[in-house]
Amino acid sequence: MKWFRRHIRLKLLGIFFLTGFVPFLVILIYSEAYGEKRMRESVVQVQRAQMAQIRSNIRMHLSQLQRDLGFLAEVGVMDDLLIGDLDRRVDLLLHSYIGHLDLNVSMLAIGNDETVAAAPSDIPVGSVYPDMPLLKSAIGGARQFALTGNRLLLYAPVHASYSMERVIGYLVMEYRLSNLSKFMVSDQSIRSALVCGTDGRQIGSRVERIGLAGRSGIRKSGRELVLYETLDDILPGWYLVYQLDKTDAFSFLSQLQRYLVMILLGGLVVIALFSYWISRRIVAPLVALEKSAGHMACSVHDAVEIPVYSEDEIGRLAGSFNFLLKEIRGAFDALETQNRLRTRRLTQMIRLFDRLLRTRTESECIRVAVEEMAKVLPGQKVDFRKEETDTAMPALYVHDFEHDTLRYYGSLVLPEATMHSDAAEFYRSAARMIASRIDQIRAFERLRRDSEAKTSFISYLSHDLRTPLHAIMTQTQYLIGYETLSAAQCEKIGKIENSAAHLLGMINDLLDMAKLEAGKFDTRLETVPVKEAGAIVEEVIALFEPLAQQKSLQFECSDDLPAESIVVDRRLLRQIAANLLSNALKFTDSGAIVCCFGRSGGTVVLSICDTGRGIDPQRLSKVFDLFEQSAAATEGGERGSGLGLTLSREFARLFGAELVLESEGEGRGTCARLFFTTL
Amino acid sequence: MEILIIEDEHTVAQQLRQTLQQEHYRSTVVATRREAQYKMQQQDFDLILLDWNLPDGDGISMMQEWRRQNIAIPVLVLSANTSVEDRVHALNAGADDYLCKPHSSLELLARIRALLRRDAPVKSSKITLGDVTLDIVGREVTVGGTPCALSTAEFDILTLLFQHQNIVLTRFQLNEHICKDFDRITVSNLIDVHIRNLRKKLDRPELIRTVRGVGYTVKAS
Repeated sequence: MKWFRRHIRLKLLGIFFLTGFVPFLVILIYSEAYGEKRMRESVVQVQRAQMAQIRSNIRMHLSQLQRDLGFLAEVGVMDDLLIGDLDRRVDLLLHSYIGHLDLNVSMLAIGNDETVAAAPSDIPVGSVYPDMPLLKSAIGGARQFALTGNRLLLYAPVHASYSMERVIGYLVMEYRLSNLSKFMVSDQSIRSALVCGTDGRQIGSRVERIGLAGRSGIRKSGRELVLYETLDDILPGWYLVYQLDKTDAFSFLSQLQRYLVMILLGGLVVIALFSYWISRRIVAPLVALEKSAGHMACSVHDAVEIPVYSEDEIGRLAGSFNFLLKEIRGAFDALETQNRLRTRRLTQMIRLFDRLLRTRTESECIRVAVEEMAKVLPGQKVDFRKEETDTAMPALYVHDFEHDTLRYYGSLVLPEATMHSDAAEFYRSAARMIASRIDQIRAFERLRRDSEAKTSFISYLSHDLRTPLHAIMTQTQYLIGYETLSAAQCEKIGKIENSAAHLLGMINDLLDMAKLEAGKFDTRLETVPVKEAGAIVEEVIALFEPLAQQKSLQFECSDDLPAESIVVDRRLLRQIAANLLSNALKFTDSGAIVCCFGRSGGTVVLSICDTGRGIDPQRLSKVFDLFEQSAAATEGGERGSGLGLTLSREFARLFGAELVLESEGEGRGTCARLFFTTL
Repeated sequence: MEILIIEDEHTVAQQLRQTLQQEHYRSTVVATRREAQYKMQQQDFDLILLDWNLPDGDGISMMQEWRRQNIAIPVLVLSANTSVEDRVHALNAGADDYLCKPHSSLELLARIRALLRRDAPVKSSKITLGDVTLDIVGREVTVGGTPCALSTAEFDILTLLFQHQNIVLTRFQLNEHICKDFDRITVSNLIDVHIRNLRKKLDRPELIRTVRGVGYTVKAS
């Protein structure tokens, strides 16, 4: 069905078949199925009428004979029967009568004594009539004739002329049944006969022997159709049989069917021719169109033009398609040419970009750019000019980092004509790319200088700030340790040392921060079991335990350590734990500090949770900002550098860990979680 | 014992000299590499305290030169450079020890003693003050003959105080001593808490005296 739906030719053929072929086929089937029956009924009806006619003819014929016989019986000469004085006149009369009849009959006159009184035939006069009993039976039964063998006995009573009531004898005609054969029909297609129902004797044409029963009937025998009717009212036990040749009878029907078959075959030929014509005129151009469109979808150049056979819609469609194909080919060619040009430009641009990326100085960058432009425009003069040009040459504008603006740097000097072509945008893009590279080179230079400045700053912090501090502290320690001082003097010097120590702490923090930012922090990464990391934390806890005891705080540690190994820098982990624990101690006045290793989200986490002052949610997001200190910290008077948490997080990141601070709000404690990288 | 101090910061150099003098060391101060080279040719030294950065070059390269000349005098590098890398560099270049500035003077003296293979001022490994006896080797403390259990930090603090009797030790010095494994611990009252615990455990309130605003000291009876 799918196949049928996909082919217009099949659809058209289907329609032709339905409209042209099916009606004939229906007629043919109808005539085959019902025509013969109807035809037979019609033939039978006609033949029955004929049979009735034959019967009527026989009846009339016999009646006529009967009447003739009655007339003869009334002739006066017949009175002689009474006296037995018969002469040859009766014989002659009968003979004469028989001579008039063109029939095979015998006539005789029988007296009351049942002897033959006169007979023109070979029956001896005076002998007892052999069929008298039969005759008497017919007379007694008031039947007009009696049937015996092949003969029909017709009779008429002979009345005495003086007394009409007195029967003086009988005039008898022996009628041979074969005489009736003249009523029978015999031609090529129709034959009729009288057939005796008991012994099958036939009079007339020869017909098929069939079993006869009932009053009438029809039998089909091979090519023959046999009809029969009883003749009991005329000839008891005999039937009139009519035999028809079906071929002839139904010749019209078979002829009609033959014509129909011929029409069907002719129709098929017509349909075949018509479909060929459709294929040539409609379907073939459409198929060619479809194929060409398919090729066009794959490759415009593979598609072929469709031949135009006509000027009708199909022809015009093919013409339009050919025009479309030509247009698309043209467009494709143009596009391909453009594409090739663009690919070449892109390649040139990539090569330029690649070479520019390898340059390290501005002059090298310009030199390479001019070289590449010369390759793009072979045989033409390409240059670079710092001065501003009047012409619309591709200019280079570079970024002025100081003033955050663009400044004119120079122009590529190319042949005039190039800048009026379509490629002008390519050269301008190239100029932008060169300017970007110069920007990059300058930015790298600036970055390098900044990095050097940062390194110098670290060196300055490290040396030039710590050295004077060292001088102060060595002196304070000497004074306190070895000089004899009053208590007041000692206290003042102690304050100097405390301040110096505080300053040292801040300088150390700043130095660490600067090192981290400059990426100059040294780490020693190790993969250690959590148990070892736990021991490091335990060490820090041991150091701080007295502080917790002083504040009556509980230090709770879990011994249940995960079995994994984690990546750490021992020194940094120790420092982070010290920072977090000192914070917890600083901001917790009562309750407990819980320190434990656990698992979370597939990794190992160190949690240090306290029941301290907590952090306001708004501040929580800022705790890792530089120099951020909570109000609690500043109120407490224990002012640090404000870098502790920031440093801790950065330290953690150095060994792939992440520090997160959680708090449900002020007064609800804080929880610091350090998520490690596990192995 | 002759110690050569190579330090360009005059104040620091003089203070070092004074401190060493208090501990009965003789010392010579020079400020540049050139002077140092000259002094080295003039005199033999038992120890050199070397500053990394000098006006006429860095001290480490000078030390490397000495090592190449098979001069094996112990060198203690004093530097403001704090990184592990710097420390490793100095030690690889031939330094015997390295101390970051600023440092506790007690720490410096301890290192000097170690390098010179000299004993602490107190000869015995056991120091007794009143009825309190401290065994440095055995890490035991007895009060009136009864053992007293101290934590590591408490023992270290008590040891430092006992080793420097009659000298006031500042909180910075004590802190540096107990937190030597840490870069820094900024909890200000950590030492005070340890001292308080020590007093409680020793049950001798007068043993460790508080020097108001400065630190603590123990007095020899």
